[in-house]
Amino acid sequence: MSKRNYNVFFNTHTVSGIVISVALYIIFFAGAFALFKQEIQFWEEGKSISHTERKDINYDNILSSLDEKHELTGRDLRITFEEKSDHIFINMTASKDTLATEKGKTANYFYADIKSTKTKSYIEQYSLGEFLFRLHFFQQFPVIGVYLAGLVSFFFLFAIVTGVIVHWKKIIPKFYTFNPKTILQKVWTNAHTALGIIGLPFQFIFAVTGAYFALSVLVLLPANFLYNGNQTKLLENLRPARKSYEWVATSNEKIPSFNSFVKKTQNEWDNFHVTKANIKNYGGVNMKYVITGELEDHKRFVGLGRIAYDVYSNKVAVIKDPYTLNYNEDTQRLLTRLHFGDYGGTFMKIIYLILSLITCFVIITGVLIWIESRNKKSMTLRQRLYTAKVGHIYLSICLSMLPVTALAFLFVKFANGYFIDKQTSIYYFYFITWLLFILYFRFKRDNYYTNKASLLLGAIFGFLIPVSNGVVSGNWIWTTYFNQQYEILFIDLLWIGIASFSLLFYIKTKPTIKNQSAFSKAPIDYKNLTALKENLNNNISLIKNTIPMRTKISLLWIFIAIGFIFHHIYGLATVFFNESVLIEGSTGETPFWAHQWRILMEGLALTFGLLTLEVSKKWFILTSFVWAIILGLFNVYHIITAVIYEASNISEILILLLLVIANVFLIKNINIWRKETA
Amino acid sequence: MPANTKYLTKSPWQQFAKISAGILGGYIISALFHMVLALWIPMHKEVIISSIFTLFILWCVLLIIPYLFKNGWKVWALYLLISLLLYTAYYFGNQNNPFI
Repeated sequence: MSKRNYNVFFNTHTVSGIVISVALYIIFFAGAFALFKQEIQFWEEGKSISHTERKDINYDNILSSLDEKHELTGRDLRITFEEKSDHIFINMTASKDTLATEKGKTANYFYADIKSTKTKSYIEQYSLGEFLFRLHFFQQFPVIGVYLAGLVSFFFLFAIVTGVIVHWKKIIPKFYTFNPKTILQKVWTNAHTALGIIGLPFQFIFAVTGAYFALSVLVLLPANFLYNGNQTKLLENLRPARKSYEWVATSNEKIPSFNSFVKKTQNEWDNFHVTKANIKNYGGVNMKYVITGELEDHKRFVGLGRIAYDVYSNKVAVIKDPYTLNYNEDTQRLLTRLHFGDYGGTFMKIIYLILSLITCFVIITGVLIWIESRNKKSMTLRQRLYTAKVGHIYLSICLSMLPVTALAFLFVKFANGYFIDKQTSIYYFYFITWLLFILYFRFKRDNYYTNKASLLLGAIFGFLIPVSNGVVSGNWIWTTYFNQQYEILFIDLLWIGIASFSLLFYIKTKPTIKNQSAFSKAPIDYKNLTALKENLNNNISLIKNTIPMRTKISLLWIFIAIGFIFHHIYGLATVFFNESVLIEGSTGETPFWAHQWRILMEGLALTFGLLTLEVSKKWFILTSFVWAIILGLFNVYHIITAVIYEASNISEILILLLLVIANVFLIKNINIWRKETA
Repeated sequence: MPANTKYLTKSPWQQFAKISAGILGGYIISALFHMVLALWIPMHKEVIISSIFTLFILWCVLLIIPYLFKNGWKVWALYLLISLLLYTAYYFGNQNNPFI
């Protein structure tokens, strides 16, 4: 490879890696726990699990109790039996029957207890396992979160491939020269490469399958063109089990027992276990039971089987034999299996967990290499301050996840049963604690300390987790062992393992390591930061021939205020041309909402314009900055709605466009002002 | 040891051209390529199903290629040309679309 290409790829690897690093760390760290989502939920609830065989569950009982409460006639139901839990998950669409009452017309989804048939809503049933699972694709960010995770996944793929290109020649030598006694940057470089290569196939799978899960919309888009926009047909081909049938009419016959169909399906093939079911057109003349299952892991890696029954005629409508592979159906299952590691039992999941945590380590070492190599004495102070700041923020976000997650386990154990809305309580607890940790570590400005403190706290909280389980739920590790509640036992053991490793790393990390860092060799004196910065500012030469900044900001505020007034006049323009002057329902009095908007828009812009001439306090600059950003977002939103709803009003769109431009300048200038006075 | 800056593209427009060509152009080519393949070879559905992973792998390759070039706009020209060719193939393949 030519020198140029090597350097170019090296740079793309660095940049893409650094940009996604924090998000990727969160994905892998939360994802490692998400592998044990169900076990975490059992651990949290602390109740014994009956380990009822899926075929022995009394579904008829559950369905009839649901029918009483929610009127199932005309609905499509999707039932997930889950692996071991005492719940089944039910997702029901609104009734297709036009005669259905209001009750039947709302879609529902919830968990039902297999014994008591009691249902629990999603937020009541929410658990830390679910939270960590959702966190691993950023679902807590509404709407865009999952796409963000998808893009991170895709750029991870890019970083993997460019990483292999860059390291290709040195992979084997670096493997053998991995010696922790050399200088720090070298240790991390070698660890980064060596461990990166060990986890490579796994990481590649994750990047690709992750992109598939989160960005499937980008695959569906071209497919949609091929199907000429016929989405029903497209989805029918992709997900045959979910095929829906048209509603004809309610049947007068008694609905045949669902249980018998489940048993029948299970006995159809050897080593077969039912996992899911779809009930189509409940109570309709063409009602269907679609029952899906899988072969046991040791029989086949992917063995999906399915039978769709015509319920009333008891005939098999569609059958998919698990012993014969069907490329179209089994490929998707293959990707799911590879992503979730749900083959080979707990052993495989533990391997996945270890590989995930190794990946977290590879990400951290990558960031550390980046900080170390950009902190030489030869760099300017501005560059070094920037690198150091990014490093402090990144490491405090990533490393504090360990103690925060451990604390969250303690929280859910102690809070179990106190909150009806478990979802909100977990959100608040996790994010607030995390934020506090991040802020503390970030302003402590010591990566060594961040690491040490996170490991120690992680170890302490980690060891407390099995203790809390014993104290609160009576599930001491020996009790769960003798009662064969291995799922609950597993979480305790997992935390004992994680805590032991944290403690080991905590003890092994010696202050001598800190001395090898570029920071110790050429320290940044944070206590005299203001003096250092003044030094920096003096070096900036004054640029002549410009409008002074504050004048400019003031002018821009006033421009925006005037812009809004023009906008109102243009908005009124239709009055001159065709509309009756009296607006319907007007009483001659200006309604409150009009004042509110005028004050918020013109009023505040003028206020800021005026105050900029007089005030230059820090709080004022910050307030103006925040309001300018909010106003900017509003203006962008405003122009989008104007283009959609009033495309013909060109003069109005022009003034709105100018407002957006003025707003961009405004934000930019206040930001410069903010930085210079900081 | 950060990458030696003397080899790197410094112009922000060139950087923009390469990144946008890789992300946008790369996606358009990957999508069109799979559409054409699905239309022209006999295993129509199999191609679509495979695209759930091959699309991302191809896209990633197309995201890397622009960095081999010095001029990012040339990559754009190349990618547009390829897209055009693929679109033509799609247009004629779509005459007897097996999916509808």
